[in-house]
Amino acid sequence: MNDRVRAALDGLKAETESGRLGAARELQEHAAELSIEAEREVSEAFATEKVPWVRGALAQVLDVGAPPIGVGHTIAAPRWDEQIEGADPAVARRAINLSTKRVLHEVSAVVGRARVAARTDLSDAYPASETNRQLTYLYELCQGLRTLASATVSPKLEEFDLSQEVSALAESVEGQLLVRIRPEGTPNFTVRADRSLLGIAVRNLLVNAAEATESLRTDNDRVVVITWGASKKAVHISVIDRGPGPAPFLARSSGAGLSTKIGHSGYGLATASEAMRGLGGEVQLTRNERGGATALILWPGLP
Amino acid sequence: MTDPVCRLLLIEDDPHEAVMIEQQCCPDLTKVALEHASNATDAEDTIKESEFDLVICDLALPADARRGDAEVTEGQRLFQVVRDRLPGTPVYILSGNLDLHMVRAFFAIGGSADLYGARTEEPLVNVYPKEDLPSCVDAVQAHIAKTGNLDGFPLECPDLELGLSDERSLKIYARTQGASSGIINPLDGGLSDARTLKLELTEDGVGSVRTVAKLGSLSKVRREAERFELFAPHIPLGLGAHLLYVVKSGAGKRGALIYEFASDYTAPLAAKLITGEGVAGAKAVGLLRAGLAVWSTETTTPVTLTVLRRALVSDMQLRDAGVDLPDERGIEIEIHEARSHRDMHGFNVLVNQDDEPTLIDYGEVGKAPAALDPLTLELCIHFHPGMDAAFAPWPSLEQARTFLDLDRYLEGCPVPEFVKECRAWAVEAAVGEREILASAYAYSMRQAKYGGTTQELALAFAEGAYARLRKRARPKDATSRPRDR
Repeated sequence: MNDRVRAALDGLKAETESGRLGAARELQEHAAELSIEAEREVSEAFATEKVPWVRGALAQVLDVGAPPIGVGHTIAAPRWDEQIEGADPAVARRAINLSTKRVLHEVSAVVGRARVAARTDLSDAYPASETNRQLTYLYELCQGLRTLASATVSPKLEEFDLSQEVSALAESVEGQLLVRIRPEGTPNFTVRADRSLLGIAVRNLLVNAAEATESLRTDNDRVVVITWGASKKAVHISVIDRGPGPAPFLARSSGAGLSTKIGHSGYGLATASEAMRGLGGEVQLTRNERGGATALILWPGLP
Repeated sequence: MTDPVCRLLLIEDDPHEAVMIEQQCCPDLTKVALEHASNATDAEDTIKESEFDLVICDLALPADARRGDAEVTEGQRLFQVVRDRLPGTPVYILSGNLDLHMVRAFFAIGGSADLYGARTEEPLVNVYPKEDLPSCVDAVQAHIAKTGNLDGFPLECPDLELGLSDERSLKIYARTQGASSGIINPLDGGLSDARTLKLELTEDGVGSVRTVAKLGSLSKVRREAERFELFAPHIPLGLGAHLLYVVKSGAGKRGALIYEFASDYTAPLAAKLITGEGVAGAKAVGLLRAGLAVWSTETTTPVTLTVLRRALVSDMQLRDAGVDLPDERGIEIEIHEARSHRDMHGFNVLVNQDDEPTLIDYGEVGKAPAALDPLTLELCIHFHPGMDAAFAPWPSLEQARTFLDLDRYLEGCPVPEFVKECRAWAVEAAVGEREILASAYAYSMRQAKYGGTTQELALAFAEGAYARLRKRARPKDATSRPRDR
């Protein structure tokens, strides 16, 4: 066992959450070379750890999916890297990133050319055609893959005003869907994160919430609230809707591609989760007592 | 000029993709001139040689024709080259390799501009993933159509050989003003890369507005606009022209500065001098001298002749022009270092019907010997390509060598009043004769770098000034060290 691994294992007993998180991340770097004894120490730390992202980091070391946190109706959102069994989570992220980009490189140009050619060939008949519908699905699939590729890059951390970022995202999603999005967080709220990764997570959750809400009857119901704030340990963003709530199978099963929405490529939640995982955080889903769902983003993003 | 077209550069290594893009984006070949580069090196060469109205750029590109492996980093590097070399040209990134981090970075660099004079800011960088080729095609077609609309603006250019980009610069400004037509006339000699023009714009039912348009390369236009911003507060009231608008984008590698036209009648001072109106010229110079008196200083600054000369022309530029540099070492001068226009020739001073002057062209402004501006104005009549022929054969080479002897120098001069007024201003502003000699030397050496028929005359002025400076080179003053700059 080398000195850095030993020091990191000792670090798992640190009183501060940042100390334990740092130790867990250090161990991620050496996950492949951990002895059985070392893995046992990590497992003991995992069993007693209460902070979600430290648990998440430890889960990556142990190559297990982070189990649902909390009680009642709260579950952890599925992640893409859970699909690659037995792989180091960091390697899994890289593998997802590279393979997604590779596929996109090969496919996206063909999809683009096919769409242009079909538009030319079918002319006025194109907009209402089945060809258009199928090609649009392919296009959306490419867009989903592209977002996934973006969600699995190494984060570039910077400090910025979360309230501005969230408001801009809310405005852009509101423009696409017939749902009112009400930002209700602390103004001038500085956080540390990767804007693109956080943007992927927030946008996906807002779109999910807005789509779940769109079919509701009254204008008062067709509202999504997004709030943000911080505890001593974490920054949190909550996206609250009044839709049907998270699908029951999300609690039983994990994996990307799951969705309750017809016609949706279904990558949104797993991609949001993957993006936050890159920041050492996670996404949780809760069924609200009075209907609808709350998607909670948590990450250690205080400057 | 040939019929205007939209100049497109397509950088794409996949031949199938290139063919598809060309066919879809350019259905009407009469409206488009497209160049295609399939690797980064070819693209860089093309950008260096030509100008474009739109660049469509893939990201995964081979570095050159020999290396076939496409790299995204090569495309990212090339994008930066395009931004640096063609800062006013919109770029559409069309790539299968985009991720959100890249998109964010591209937009951070991009900025926006009114590319068509439509009073609408357009992004200078647009990003399309390859699966969204239809949107890219639509955007390119829209750009071609809007460029065509811009070209359709009725602008009369009698007897002017303006390039496509220069015309577009003027039309962009004209359209931002809501004009329905325009007419331009030259205000300069028309031989240099930069052009100064009178632009008259008419708005139906409203009337017409006259402005001065200075056309030039984008780098020069941007520099002049920046310097103007710094310099404007120091221009005495009534002597400066207000900068109304700067065309920095939408016209290839060219741009324009639009200055306010103070009077209905405006002509360059050079035009008066060419027609022998020395008295009018003297009046304008007198007014300039009085107005710019606020720039004068009594503080003397020691400086070497080399420093003064290099501020106007470098050693290398003179070598390239075949000019032998005399030994400048040991020649020191005290000067009144003052705020200065630094390019005050007869086309940069406009006069109205009462011979009241307005200064334009602020691309060179800065600190200089106080004698430089009046001497530049005095001597420009021999060297500016728009004026030199009108005054030859005066002065002889001998007169040039002894130009300080004003009576002798003025023998045969068509505009003696003008020259006398310039000289009086130089004498008043300078510490003494040595500052005038050194300034004349530096200015003449700069003119010598252009070669041509006036080089011999420029060297005669320089030789004469140098000889007197060398003859009267004073021992180094122990308490007053020349400044290195």
